[in-house]
Amino acid sequence: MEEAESIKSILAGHTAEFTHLVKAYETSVFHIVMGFVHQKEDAEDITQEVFVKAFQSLDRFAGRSSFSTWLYRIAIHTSLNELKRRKRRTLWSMAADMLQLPSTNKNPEQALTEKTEQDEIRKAIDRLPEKQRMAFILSRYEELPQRDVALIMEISEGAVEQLLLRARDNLKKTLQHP
Amino acid sequence: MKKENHIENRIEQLIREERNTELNPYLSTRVMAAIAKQQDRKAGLLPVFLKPVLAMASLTIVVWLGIIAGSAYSSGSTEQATVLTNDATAEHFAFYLQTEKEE
Repeated sequence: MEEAESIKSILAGHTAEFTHLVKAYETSVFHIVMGFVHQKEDAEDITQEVFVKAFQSLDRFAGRSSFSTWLYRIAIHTSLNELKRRKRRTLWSMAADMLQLPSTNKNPEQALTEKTEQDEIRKAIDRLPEKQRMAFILSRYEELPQRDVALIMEISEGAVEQLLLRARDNLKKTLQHP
Repeated sequence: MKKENHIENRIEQLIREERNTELNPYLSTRVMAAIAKQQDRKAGLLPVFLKPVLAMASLTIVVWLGIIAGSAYSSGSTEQATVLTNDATAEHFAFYLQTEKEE
């Protein structure tokens, strides 16, 4: 069944039809959310929230953009809102982070160095200005072409290119001089 | 330049690792359960809200029926003749029977 037909069917009361849309987009939404929160459990919770929100406001989806564009916008806004809400990370997630050393065959010292380095990169991504971060995550985490990023962010392709260049420069600056 | 490449590689590696994070295979089930729960909650909200309204409506109906029933009663003001007789002073029926015998 095509997406538009699925949406009509869901709006007509066939709620179970929504499962197909969830299955089709869960990985993409998860990647985007992961780019914002960097933590599996949080990303899963937010991904769930994104789909629940999408279901609730499905009647407001006018079809002017594709369903995925609309859904990714919800994913971005939900992630940003959640980040604002959870600014103070819980003790639990901090402890989980500390225990989450890469499961490789490397020695503990090397693993710890890697973990520290990764944390620095995460922090640098999180510190990017909002628009740069959005463009960076959509382009690198979900590997969307600039045209799609532009549609989602409702800006021109040129503007997306500029944002990506600035994001890359900012990351390098931050990571070279932490 | 070497350092820049190293940073770029590390960023790429981190993104790859985060992208490869395994997603819960039951996420769609979780989503559908959350939607169903929310719909149930919405459906359940109306009766809870209506409960006091329904109680008040029932009470009003009972009082109204009471008033209607009370108003429907009439005191029975139709005139009725009442004969007050004293059996002791009434003529004995046997008297007439006796008379008939005499004839």
